Amino acid sequence: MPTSDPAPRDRAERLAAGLPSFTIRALRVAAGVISGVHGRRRRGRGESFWQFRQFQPGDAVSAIDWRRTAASQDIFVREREWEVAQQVWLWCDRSPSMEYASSPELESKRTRAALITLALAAMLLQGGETVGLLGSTPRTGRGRAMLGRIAEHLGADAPPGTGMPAAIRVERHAQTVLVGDFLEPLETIAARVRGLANQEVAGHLVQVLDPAEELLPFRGRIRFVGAEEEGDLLIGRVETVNRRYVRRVEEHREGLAAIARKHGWGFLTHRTDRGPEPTLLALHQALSGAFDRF
Amino acid sequence: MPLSFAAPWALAALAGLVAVWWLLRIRPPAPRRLRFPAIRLLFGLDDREEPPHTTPWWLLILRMALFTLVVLALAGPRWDSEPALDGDGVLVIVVDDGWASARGWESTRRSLLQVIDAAQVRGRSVVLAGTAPGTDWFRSQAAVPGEEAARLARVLAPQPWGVDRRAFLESLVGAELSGTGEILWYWDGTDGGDPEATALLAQQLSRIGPLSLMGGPEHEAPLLLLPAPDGADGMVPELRRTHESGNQEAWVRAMSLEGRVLTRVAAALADGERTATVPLGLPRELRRDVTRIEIEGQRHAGAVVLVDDRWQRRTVGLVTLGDDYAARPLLAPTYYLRRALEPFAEVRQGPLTALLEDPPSVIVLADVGQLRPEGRDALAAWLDSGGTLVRFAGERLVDAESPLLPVKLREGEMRALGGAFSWEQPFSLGPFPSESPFAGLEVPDDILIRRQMIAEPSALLDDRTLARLADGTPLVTAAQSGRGELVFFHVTANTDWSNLPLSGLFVSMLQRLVERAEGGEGQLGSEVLPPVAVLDGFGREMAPPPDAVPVGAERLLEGVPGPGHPPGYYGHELFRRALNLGGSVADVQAYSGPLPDGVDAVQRFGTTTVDLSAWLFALALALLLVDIVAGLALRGLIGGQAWATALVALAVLGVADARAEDDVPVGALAIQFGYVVTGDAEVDRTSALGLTALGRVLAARTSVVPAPPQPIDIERDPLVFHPFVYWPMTDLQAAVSEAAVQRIEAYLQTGGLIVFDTRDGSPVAQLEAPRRADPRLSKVLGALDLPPLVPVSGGHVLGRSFYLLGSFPGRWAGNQVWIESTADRSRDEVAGVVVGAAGWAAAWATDPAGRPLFPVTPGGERQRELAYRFGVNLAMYAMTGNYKSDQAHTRTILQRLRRAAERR
Repeated sequence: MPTSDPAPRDRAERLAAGLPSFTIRALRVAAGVISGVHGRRRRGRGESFWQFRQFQPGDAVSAIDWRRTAASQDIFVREREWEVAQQVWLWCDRSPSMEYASSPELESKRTRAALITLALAAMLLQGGETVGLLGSTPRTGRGRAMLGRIAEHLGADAPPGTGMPAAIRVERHAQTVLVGDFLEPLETIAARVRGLANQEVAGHLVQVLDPAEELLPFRGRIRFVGAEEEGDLLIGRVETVNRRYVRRVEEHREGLAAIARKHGWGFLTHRTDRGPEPTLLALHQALSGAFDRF
Repeated sequence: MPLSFAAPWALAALAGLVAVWWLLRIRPPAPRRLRFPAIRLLFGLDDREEPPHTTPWWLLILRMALFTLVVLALAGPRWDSEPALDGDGVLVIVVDDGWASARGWESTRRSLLQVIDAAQVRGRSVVLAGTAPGTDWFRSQAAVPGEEAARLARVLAPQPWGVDRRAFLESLVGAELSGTGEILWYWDGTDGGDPEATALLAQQLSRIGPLSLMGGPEHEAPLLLLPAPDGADGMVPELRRTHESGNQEAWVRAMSLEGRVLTRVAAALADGERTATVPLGLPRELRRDVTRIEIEGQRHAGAVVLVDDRWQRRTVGLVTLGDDYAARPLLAPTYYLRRALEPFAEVRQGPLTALLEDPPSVIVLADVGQLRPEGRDALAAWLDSGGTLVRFAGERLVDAESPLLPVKLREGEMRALGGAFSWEQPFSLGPFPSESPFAGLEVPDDILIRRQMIAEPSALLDDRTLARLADGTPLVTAAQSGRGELVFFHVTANTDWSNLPLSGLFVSMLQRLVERAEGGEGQLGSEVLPPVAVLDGFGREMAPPPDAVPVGAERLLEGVPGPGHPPGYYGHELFRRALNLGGSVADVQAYSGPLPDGVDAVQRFGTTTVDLSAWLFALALALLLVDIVAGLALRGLIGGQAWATALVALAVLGVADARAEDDVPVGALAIQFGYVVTGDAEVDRTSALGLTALGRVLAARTSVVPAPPQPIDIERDPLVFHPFVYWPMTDLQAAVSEAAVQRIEAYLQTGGLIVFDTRDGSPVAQLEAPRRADPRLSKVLGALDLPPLVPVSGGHVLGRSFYLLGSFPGRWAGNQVWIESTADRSRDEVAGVVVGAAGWAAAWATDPAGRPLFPVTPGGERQRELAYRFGVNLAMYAMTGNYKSDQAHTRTILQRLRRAAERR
């Protein structure tokens, strides 16, 4: 029987087929970064923190670990000793403006942002934190399964009209990491950040930009067309506006940094022509520092 | 001016250049478009007014040049080398229209027409005059309008004789040529055999007006072929040219009457040579067949030598005898004669009157005594007109009174030598007299003459004897009769009287006689010979034109063709003499004398006129490509990848039209059954598997090796490539569209076969015509224009086309199969529609391992086998039609043949 339109499913499958390799890449990046911070983990948050204790009246029957129980005379209950894992909400910009790469050799901003997000998620999950994807997963989770889910969400198309996440209810004292190009007007971004910060959420902004967006290396007569229906603009000689553009980008960035500072957030920049590892390392250290504060 | 335009008015479009320039100035090339997410940061940066962007100057020039090229190409520029005709007054054109011009006549005529056309445009009148005698307008150089001159030029053709410039000069002296603008002389480059007259004519013409000499391409200088001089071997013609410079090669070929090429000989003229002899080297037997020798590729009258009867193969009529020898054909005189004559003559055999209807050169009468009066008179008339009659003695002649004999015979007297009643020994032949046609033939010793007829001695007898016996008695006698000759052998043509007919001498003697037939030069008297076939200026043989007049024999000997006497054959059927051009114009040479002052060297016309528009278009196209690339480059869209893309695009453009073929499916070359896709996947799969399995069965058992079956969307796909189409009926079956109905009908009309299968063993189909009864079928069949369906009768071809089948089971057995009633004879009584309910495809279908997929009901492998057999029959029926039904009449045909044989 003919399906109505096979395109979306096909695309999803194609993306899904690419997912494992992408996840592996993210894991490899994460591993490289973790090995780089080896010895800096001051507190273990591994899976060895399970312990069993004897069943006591009042314990839920479902809590009984039957395997352990079968190995001995007593009835054992599985219990988590430390339940203090940090919740980290990640967000990755998947808006059309992210689908941009100024040259075929470069990854698009979206791919790079997704890579950073996923690698970060992998590192955090490995560290035992619970991780969620803001706006996509209903709650945070842990383990490889969560990594897979996040990867899947990152591969899928974003719901239309998504820019910065709106004020989503997030657990207090959770951490957020927002990865995107943050090219929207500063007021919009400030409002969104304020919305999150008001819930006593700490966070980091990671701005991922294409080198062309930073440097405007074009010459001649060009009609620029926006990615998100901002309209178009004809510039007679692009080289003449180059310097002013670069300054404006810096101003925008300073504005972003100011917003972040105001709420005690971190601000990082990343360019797609450079490797993701330094950014990840910086992020990881920033997050670890944040964890240390608790 | 060598450059001209076919459509000069198109050049007016060049005024559009201004518009192009203006447009390009105000509308610069479109900017490059660039998607840029950070556009928000760009807004307001470019605070200046957009500067007036100008198109780069080189692009401006490129596009203006492009426009100019297209306009120029549309104007149809041509580069040709015709002379400029910018004068006024009457244009005088003198054309050498002798044989020497025939070679390049096409280019001459084209040039003439162009020149006249140009004159006509300017409203000038034209005088067109030829220098060869024989044309009507030779002596009346009246100016005519260009239109009339063009008509004259179109019918103007070279004459098969030379030019006569002296006569032309004389006619010019008296002519009124006032107001002459230019004079063009289309000159053949020769002196026409009279260098003095040529120089005078040039002088005279240049005195009348500015003279231009127009010459054809130099390589078209003609070659002449001259017949061999009298007495020499006629098969050694002479090749001659008008100039002496350069090496030249030519092929000379000899042809028979039927146009068969008998031989080709290469002849070469070295630098400094004017003549070369060309020995054809033909064996004697072939020489007689030669009627025409020509130089290949020359195509003018001077390159052809006609060979007359002296060298031709003769026709010999052999008069058949009565029934005397019917039972003993090997003893018949005609048998010996035929065997002796056939190697060198065309022998026709028949009754005398029949032979005389188309008179041969020689008639042989063997042992014919009494001739019927009408036959005798006709024979005598033929003899007088130049025939040669050869008679042989025989029993019948002994008593007959026959006037057609060279000598008087002693009545009733026959001399027997060496017989039982004779004491004389058989004689052999004596030597031939020196004046005899047989002179020089060697006489073998073993020829013995046992009987002969004795001639009455007379004063003439000795002169008339061509051969004698050893004792001096005549064996062969001959006499003139009118222009013909009468020859008499005093023995029979078979072995009854002598063994002469068994000898090679007999053949040689007959050969000499036949060759001698229609005699030598001596016969050319003062009579006048009418033209039989003549050559035109191009050396083509044709019927004599009305103005060709009979030629006197002495003129023929002189051999100078001219007006009224074109080269060709003169005489009549029996006696043809050739008049050839070559000899009379042998002294024509390339003109090397002085030209009058003011006359430039010869202008060459006929070099190709080059149409430049195609080149201009090509250049414009190239510029267009450059412009496209430049436009892309301006917008910054050209990178390495883009170049590759552009190259691929060009390559695709190059092969695009090669691929623009009709979309005939790949399987069209193979035998491929089709099945109609129903939309029910299970049914379609069954159809495909069933037809595949049937294909395997066919390949194993018959010479039909079908390709895998083709699914057919009845609304879209063509049917014509399939021998038959299997159409299972399902409940999903929708009514077919009108277009599809038309296609189905066309398919059926052109011999297609569609098998409808309701697949359910439906009993309804057994009771009534399924076309109405079955709702599914009626959706399809109801729309088709078909004769009524009838049940397949026992004797139908479908049951005999390969296997002999009484029933046609499929998955179900015992169902009636319906076919289109074939009363309609338009398709050779082959039905186009087969309707059944047996579910054949299901019965045929197997899995890849060959195991059947569906059980058959009531069952048994026998039923499945029968189903396959029906499939084989179906395929055969689809491909061979009623071929097998022809055999239904075999018995009747055999009986008829037998009856016919008995009657005989």
